[in-house]
Amino acid sequence: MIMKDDEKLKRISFMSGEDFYFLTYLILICLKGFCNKSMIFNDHRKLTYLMQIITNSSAVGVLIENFNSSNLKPLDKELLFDVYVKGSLHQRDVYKILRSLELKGIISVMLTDKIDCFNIKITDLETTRAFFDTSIFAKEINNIEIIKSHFKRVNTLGLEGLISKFFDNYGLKVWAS
Amino acid sequence: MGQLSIHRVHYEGKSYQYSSPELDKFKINIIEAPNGSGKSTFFDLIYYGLGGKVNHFSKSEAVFHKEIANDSSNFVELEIAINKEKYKIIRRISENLITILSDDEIIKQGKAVGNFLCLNINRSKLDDYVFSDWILEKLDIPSIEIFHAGKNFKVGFNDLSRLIYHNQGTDTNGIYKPADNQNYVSDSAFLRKAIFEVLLGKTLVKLYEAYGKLKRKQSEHDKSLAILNEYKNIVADMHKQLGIKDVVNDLHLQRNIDDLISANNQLSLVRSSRLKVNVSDNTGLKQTQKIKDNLNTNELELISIRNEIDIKIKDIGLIGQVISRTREDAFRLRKIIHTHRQLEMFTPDTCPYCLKSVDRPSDKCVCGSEIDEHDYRRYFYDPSEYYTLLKSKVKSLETMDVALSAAKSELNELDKKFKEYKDINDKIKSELSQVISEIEYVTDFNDIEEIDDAILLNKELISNYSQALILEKNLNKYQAEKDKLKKELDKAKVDVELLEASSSQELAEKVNDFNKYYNLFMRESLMDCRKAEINSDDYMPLINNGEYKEASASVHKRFLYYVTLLQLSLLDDIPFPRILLIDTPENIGIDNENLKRMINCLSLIENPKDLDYQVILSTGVNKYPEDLKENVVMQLSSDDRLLRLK
Repeated sequence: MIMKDDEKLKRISFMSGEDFYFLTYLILICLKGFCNKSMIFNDHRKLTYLMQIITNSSAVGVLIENFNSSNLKPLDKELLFDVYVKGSLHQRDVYKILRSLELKGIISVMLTDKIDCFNIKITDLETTRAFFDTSIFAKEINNIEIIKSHFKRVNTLGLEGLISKFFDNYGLKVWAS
Repeated sequence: MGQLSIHRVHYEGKSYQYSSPELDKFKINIIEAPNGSGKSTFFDLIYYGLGGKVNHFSKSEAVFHKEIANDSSNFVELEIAINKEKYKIIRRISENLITILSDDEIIKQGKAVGNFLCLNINRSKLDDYVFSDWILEKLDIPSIEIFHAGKNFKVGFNDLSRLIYHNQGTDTNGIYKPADNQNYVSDSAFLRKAIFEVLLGKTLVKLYEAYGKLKRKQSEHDKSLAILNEYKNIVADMHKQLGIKDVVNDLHLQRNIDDLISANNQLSLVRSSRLKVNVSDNTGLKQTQKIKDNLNTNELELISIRNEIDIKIKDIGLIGQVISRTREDAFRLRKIIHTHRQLEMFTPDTCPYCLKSVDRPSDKCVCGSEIDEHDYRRYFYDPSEYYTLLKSKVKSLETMDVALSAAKSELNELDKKFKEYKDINDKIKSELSQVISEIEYVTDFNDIEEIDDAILLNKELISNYSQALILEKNLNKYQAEKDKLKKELDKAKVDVELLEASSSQELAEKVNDFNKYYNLFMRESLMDCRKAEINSDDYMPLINNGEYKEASASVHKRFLYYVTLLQLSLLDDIPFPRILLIDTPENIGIDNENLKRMINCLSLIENPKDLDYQVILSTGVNKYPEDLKENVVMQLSSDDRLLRLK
């Protein structure tokens, strides 16, 4: 009986959106999807927002359908705001996981001119290849392709540029820290 | 027919872990290992993963496998392919449930059910759909019901495995692997024969299917006959109550009803013609009041049904949302498990602050405080817990699907009810308008009372006849049902007879083919074997007409029996799934040379259609022919055993 209660508790306390592995795979998908030819992703602070966008097909839909419009329906606005909030909430976790991935030798975290901003380089190509040798991430990869076809040069943007392109321009009043 | 192959085997628990290399690299794959290094455990894991029973994985057995039985949060994961379609199947140790994952839609009973499926291993009711039914469906082997000693029993995949999995430590003279559950059906010679016949012949499978159908039709027919007779009695009773003395068939009942209706129409005409005197009377007003009240109640009812419909539609929307959220969660869990397997970054003892591993004693938090392990909200889980979560999501999806279809059918009912009330409403309205228009003509009721009485009497008769007609029609339906089943029963009987004839022919041919190759292999393998064949009564081997009794020959007898089955599946399209799992055949005193000669028979297998097949054979160090050296896919030793401590 105790075992059963235990399992029930685990089931209740598990939230897929907050799981560290969930964040980990989104980080890897974004790094691979948005990096340049030298496998470098600029400004790690953008990751957390991009991750929340590409895991949410409805958000991608809202961004594409209302491209260049700052007048969103209230429900769409709320959805986008939710994406932003979740991104902000996981900012710190994403940084921690990046450091873990660095320890594992999968990526390297590179310093930039800004003290709180790093560029990320995928270094372990073999592990990355094995990781993507599956079709289970098709949805996320497809979302990245849709985003890339509408928003050019996401990788060269800084955090502010990203926030303004994906949130401010849609009429959301947010601030990035 | 289908082919099953095993690509990889994984085991993971809190303490031990194992991941196999590719096991389908070659057609014949050798596992080379000395005794005690985990060869049998390897096969046990495969068999367990395929829904088999491995007693020593459970602590409650007298002798148990201490690494696995004492491990916790442990599970087996098999990567398999059925006719080239890839699946992952996961089974937790000491759980009788299998989770199936696939990148493509999984088919269950001909219907696509998404990318996840959770199935029980054991059958509690005969028509439960269990894992064995799924795998047999995929392998295109029909699920066969046999009737033996008054019991019906479905032949499952594990029963068929008794001639696919050549286990160790069994009396080799018995040929078959012992049954998982020893009872008088599973142990019977009848079932053993059925297994052989099912694996070997298409017509034989059809014959067993036809036997099952015949039995089912027989019982359906008996049931329908009983219902028909019972209903006849009920009809006779009802007729008495309705005042109908003789049997009247539906045609005549309908005629009576039609006559009465036309008589009533005539009476109504007479009644209308009498309504001429224009007397103002408030009876008409009373009547309109009554109808208005009716209308009121009906309108209220309509409004409340409308509200219920609105609520139901919202409910359905909500359930739909929960379903898609849960489905999304299940997909995420699959990706999470994949990420864990690839990167192994976190464990339940990872510190959530620095993400490094902590040596955390149980009942202590990462910070060192006392906690109750059961009441501890964690950041990280181990893979078996992720699988449990995934399983619970899949299960709750099933429940929600049921809830959704229930809500939909309730909505349908409500719609129907709404329409009924709407019709009644329209009727009341038209009645009201008619009564209002007639108020002026309402006349002396005494005059037409007699006519009304006559109409009423007729109406009563119509109602009685109508009831009798309904009964009669039902009776006809039961009769037709019974007749139909009788026909089907007769057809099933004919089918069985036809198949019996053709299958005995096929069986004779198959036994012949079997003997041809069995004889070839046995003679090649055993120098003093002049003739090897199987007995056509119980399909057990006979060597040199039964005179040969050398104990070590039984190893050859059993091993080559399995090899012959594989051989036949490569020549002819038979249900045998073209896979052999052979655990260390050299168990009783067979010398190395003899063993090599026996294993070498694998290279004599003829494969004219170049079909895919898989043999996984474990044997001692260097105890295989030189030619097969390249085919060694895994080596174990006393230092490098199967299960690795984490």
